[in-house]
Amino acid sequence: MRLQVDNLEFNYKDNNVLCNVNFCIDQPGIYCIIGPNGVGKTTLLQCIDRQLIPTKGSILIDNQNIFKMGRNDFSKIVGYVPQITFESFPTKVVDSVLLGRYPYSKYGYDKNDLDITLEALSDMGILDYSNCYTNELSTGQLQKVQIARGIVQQTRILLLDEPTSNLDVKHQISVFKSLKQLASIRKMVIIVVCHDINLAATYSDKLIVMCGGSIYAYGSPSDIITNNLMKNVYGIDCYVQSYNDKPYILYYE
Amino acid sequence: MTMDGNNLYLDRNNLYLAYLHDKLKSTIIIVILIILLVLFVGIGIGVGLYSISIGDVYSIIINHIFCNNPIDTVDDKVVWNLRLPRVLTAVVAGIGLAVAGSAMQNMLKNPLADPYTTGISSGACLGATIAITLGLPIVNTQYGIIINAFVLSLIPTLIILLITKYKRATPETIILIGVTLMFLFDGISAFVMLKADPNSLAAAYEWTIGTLNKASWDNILPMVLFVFPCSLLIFSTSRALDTLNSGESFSKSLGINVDKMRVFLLVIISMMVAGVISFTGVIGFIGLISPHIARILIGSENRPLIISSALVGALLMVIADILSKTISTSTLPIGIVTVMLGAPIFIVIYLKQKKVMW
Repeated sequence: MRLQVDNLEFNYKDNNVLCNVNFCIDQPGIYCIIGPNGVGKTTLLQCIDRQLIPTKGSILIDNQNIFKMGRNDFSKIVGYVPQITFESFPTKVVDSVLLGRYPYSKYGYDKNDLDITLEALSDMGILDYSNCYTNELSTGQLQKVQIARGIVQQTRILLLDEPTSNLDVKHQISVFKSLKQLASIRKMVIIVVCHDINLAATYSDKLIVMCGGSIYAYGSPSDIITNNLMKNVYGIDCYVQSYNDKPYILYYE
Repeated sequence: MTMDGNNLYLDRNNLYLAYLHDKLKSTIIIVILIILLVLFVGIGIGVGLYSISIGDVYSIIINHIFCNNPIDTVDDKVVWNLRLPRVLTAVVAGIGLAVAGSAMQNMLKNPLADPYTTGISSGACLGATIAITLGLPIVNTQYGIIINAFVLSLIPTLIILLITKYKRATPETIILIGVTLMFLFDGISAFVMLKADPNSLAAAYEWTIGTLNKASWDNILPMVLFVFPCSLLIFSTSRALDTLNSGESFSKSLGINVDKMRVFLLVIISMMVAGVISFTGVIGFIGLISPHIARILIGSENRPLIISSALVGALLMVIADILSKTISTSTLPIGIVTVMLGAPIFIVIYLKQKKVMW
């Protein structure tokens, strides 16, 4: 599995969002994208997911241009979990997650689809809620429903846009642990947009730091998280400590 | 195995059973709705100054269809020539409006959307009003009013389609432009009516309320030709509509072209609704509440929802027709009954449901 992004550029009308984005992922694992708001993290994810068409540059998966792949086949290779969205008309959790099987079962679900769904619900620790309606869940639980929906798509690459933004620390960690497990058991590439730098540094194999529409740094957390980076990317002063070979940020006034 | 009676199933196998149980429940509800519809269609045909029992109604219909030798009784004439077209028109119109409403609510992600959200009804009213009061049909035949209504009802949709060439077909665009066009067309209708003489004014007014008085076998065929193919096309998009319910970004990531789908549905819905209301006039409320009642009965998954909406819509229309014939001897326009019956029923159902659905 090799995901290669070359010279990617994306403009919204006159607004240049992404420019000269280059990186390559060739090992399964967790890859967190961090960076300040409005820096183009979601835009990058949506380009990789073919929701947005880049103005310039190319995205290759195993040396194949993603825009030349069959659309349905592509949905079996790359999955996307958007930022939290509430359903306009609530459905049962199990039905909601089954929707992720759409690329495989366009006309009806079989027992296999249901088994995969229940497995994902249990991975996310929300199996008990499978028969509840989505509007009866807490925001955090709903977020897990969305992640489960991404999992049942059984893709080799999974993109998640702020999957832990509404979770408390216990559930943040449990989500990252299950993502880590998916990455190692199913050899998946999991790309996560995350605002919690400490969490991202703890669980990701590599960090992608974005700044001003391009990649500022790409590498293992301990190598790239420095005082200097925090100053240049976020414009803040902080301590960077190390514990068990992982960097930790301590903010001060 | 439930916990706290909260439907918290613990065991995987039980969850599988629970899922099947849910689907079975949907099927049973649909079957019950079909039985009710058959029952009320029978009652609807039997009701009138010359009343016929429901058993007789169905035996007359079966005889008429399956017996080769011509049956020439009064009963047969009343059932076959007078009442069946009227009740079938109610059924077909109910199906069309309810399916359109259900698709409109889902694609616009808005519980307030109805088949008329895009201004179809106002266009149709204007077309009919022009034909009736000014005597200016586009084509001068007995179908003048119908064709006028049909053509003008599609104009707001065409304007929306033109606009989506320049602006994305988001729910907001469609609703805002639709409602704006509605006011515009209503304004023009009001202007035309002001200039009209009292007799044609009354006729135009009756048309805007919706009535089954003009139902005939000749009119049913074109209605059916609009309603059934369009309903099937809408039904075929139900999976895609399900994903849209979970957010546009999610649909897009599954490869669904959301904007194109909205435009496609908009065209289909408009054709279907125009096909119905140009024959019946603007029947209010059925397209708005049928999907909600169906959702309360069966949930929000689109495949069962579209089927049950269609059945609820047909059922409400047939019941409204029965009431319109029994309440007053002069037969009230059905549009009045659907609103006066529909509004209180809907409020009661909405308040009685245990779960807050949306």
